[in-house]
Amino acid sequence: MPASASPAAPQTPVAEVAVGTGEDSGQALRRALDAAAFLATPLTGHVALAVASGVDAEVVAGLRSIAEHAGAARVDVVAAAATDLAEIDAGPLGHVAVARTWHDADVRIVVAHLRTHARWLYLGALTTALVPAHAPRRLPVAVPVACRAMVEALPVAFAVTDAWQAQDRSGRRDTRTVLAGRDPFALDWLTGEKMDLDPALSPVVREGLLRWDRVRLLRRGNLTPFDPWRNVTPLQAVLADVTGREEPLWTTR
Amino acid sequence: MDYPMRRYGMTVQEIVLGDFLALKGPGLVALAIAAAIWPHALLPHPVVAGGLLAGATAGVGVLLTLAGAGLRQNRAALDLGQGLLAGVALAWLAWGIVALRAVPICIGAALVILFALLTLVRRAAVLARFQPRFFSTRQLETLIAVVDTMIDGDGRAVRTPEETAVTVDHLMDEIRTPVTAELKMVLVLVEWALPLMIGRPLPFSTLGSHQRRRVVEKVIGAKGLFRDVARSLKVLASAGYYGSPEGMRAMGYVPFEERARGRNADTTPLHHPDPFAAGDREAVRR
Repeated sequence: MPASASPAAPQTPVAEVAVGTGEDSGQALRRALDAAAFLATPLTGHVALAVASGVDAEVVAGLRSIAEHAGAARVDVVAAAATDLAEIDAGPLGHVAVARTWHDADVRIVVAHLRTHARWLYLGALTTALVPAHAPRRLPVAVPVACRAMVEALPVAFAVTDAWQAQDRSGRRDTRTVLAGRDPFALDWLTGEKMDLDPALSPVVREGLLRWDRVRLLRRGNLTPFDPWRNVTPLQAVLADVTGREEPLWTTR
Repeated sequence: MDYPMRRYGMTVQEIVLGDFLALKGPGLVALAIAAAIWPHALLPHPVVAGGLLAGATAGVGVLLTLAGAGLRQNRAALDLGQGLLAGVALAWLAWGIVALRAVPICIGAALVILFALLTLVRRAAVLARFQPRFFSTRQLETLIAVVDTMIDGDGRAVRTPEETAVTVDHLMDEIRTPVTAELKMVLVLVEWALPLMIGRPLPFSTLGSHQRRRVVEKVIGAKGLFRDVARSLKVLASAGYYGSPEGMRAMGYVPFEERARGRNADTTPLHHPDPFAAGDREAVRR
């Protein structure tokens, strides 16, 4: 499939991101992983999957099976309310308790479910990095900073966004797509493009851009925006921002 | 569609603010025209002062329309329009209350709400764009103007003033010293007091680049307190620009690991025994 690259400076890091489509979600996942060069990577040790709520069960099962075939000794799905916790220092987020399986894993993979969100415009791979964290009632920092801090504290090796049945402003959309890439920030950028939305408008993606700077995207697969798709309007996002409406952390999963 | 990655591109807040001003500006002009046509119905008193109030409302409308055409480029219009809107809103409200007229009171209340919304969204726009950690939104805007003036790259600058100012903001956030609070005060002084030195009673960040440069030159040439202000501005701008890897490279600095003699050098830190360890204390005393 043709690859396209964003017009960033040649010395900027390159991130490969891919869009997979197919007859079923398993096939779409396999195509996305293949295009993002995940299938060619042998895995060793303990693999942990942080799975957002709403992710297609076939995507999780497919990913687990692929990881086991690639040589992973153990594949665990991190529960949202894990009881076995380990404490980490997550920079601006402070000391956070995270699921021990996520903390101890050799390879961490986030599996996000694509949906629009009134305040953060959309939820993707970066917000899913919060899944293994023990949910306090109120975060000490804004959600974008918390997502960034979690990714920095416990780096993610691979990210998958399940958009097989995504959720836009009007409800469920059968977009029949799975997106994958090594860099969760780059993957979220591609996710925004698939929604025909400037990804930098999302505060979560913007935080990543300000912190990690630009990357050159090597996009693979069908890059045509979802149609039909209804994004959150700028007015809704601004109203959610100025009124400070914050979803509890666990509903972002 | 490929979206180019821009660190300081538009934010949703700016998009909404631009649209809001584009609607509100002509709306205020229309209100002033309506007040001129039906003074008895709309104005608190159909006298000369009432006409002036309608004229000021129209002026605010024109300024806000201009600001809506380009929030970043027409910042001065937005500043002035916002300030005048507060005055005009209070004038409608107060005069309406004094004259006990329902229509002017309603107009005044609506303008106060519009002013509050404008202020909130504008603040949210700066917060979303730069996410300042140490400086307030206004101080950060002043700092951007300071950097733009102090680092005169003449088109060859390797970092934008925004990037440099945000670097300084993050740096200040990590430093724990009382001096940082004084730096905030310096920026307040620069924003509101220094333009008076060249006879411009306007905020520093509203001035054009030549006027800002005149202010900075005046401060550098001054004595006493102003010398400290000049020194602070120089340190702030230089730390942000030359403290970055791009800035260092631009002035010819090559990191040790990349130099010819540094490539194969063993940079493992040397470990010396602690001379104050319990066993060696006697030997040190002797």
